[in-house]
Amino acid sequence: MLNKSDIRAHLDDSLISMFGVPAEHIRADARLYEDLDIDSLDAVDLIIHLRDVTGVRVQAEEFKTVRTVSDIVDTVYALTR
Amino acid sequence: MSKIAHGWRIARTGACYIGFGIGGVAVILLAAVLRCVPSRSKSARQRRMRRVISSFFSAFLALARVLGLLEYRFEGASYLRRPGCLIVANHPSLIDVVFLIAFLPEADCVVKQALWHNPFTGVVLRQAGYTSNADGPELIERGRASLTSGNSLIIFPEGTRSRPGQPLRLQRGAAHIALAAGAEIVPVVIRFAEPTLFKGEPWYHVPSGKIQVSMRAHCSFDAEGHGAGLPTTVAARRVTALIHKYFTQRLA
Repeated sequence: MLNKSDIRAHLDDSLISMFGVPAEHIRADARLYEDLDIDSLDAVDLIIHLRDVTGVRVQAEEFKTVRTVSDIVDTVYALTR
Repeated sequence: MSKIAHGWRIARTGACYIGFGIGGVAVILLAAVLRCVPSRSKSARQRRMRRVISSFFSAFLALARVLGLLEYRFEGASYLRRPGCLIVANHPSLIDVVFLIAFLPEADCVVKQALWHNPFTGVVLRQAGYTSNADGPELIERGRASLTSGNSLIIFPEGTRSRPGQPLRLQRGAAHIALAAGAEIVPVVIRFAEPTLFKGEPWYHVPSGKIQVSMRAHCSFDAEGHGAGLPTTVAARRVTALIHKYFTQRLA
């Protein structure tokens, strides 16, 4: 079972390797679009990647309400319950 | 004297707007009629509608020129005439698209969702088979299909008009489309001598002098070459950064 810090570690890795986000910009309250330059097209790739590494299927619909790094962690975590 | 000159300019500008309005209504009515006229194929129907729109825009530009309100030149038009290219332009004003479509009678164009769903403009745009910017992944698929079928596709990667004096901010959809289609990108730099019909300016604000516009295309990018071997997410960032640099240097 994944805990929140595992999910966060996977997410950090993805943000850095897939989108070239500088590691120091990734904070729990960092906003995806405004602070990290992750757009709606990136979100699609991110969902697929997170599914591959965590086995959790996040729906694109659920992702639309996601604003920050911690929102993603919470959404994925809720789905592992 | 200057008051009279200014009044005369307002009258001519008004005539231009009225001309655009009448022409626009005529095109909408024509689209409604043409919808009922059979055509050999869907693509023949689309080309027919696109040529109508293009002729309307050319006529509007001719009117503005004859009335002494507008002066423009286009360098490197030959770059645009190659089929299957993604034409990316900066978006300083409301009439950028008028120029591009007037010059490229059969090109496809990415249009705002709001215009697509508007009952009046929608009749025209849907029949012309233009591409709506509705949804990210769908836009990319439609854009890719359009380019690979040999269309030229016009897109304003800023997604909306620029704000004068603010740094250029590009969305990455254009890069994604070019990468998906393996298409060449032809940037068109549009410059107005003075900001005209820009975002936030009321449309009835009459420019103080003749509107002078220069448009320039002088190279093409091979998106695939720049993104080779990279994941799409990174490739799209790299290609967008190249387009950004190109425009920023030339608009400085």
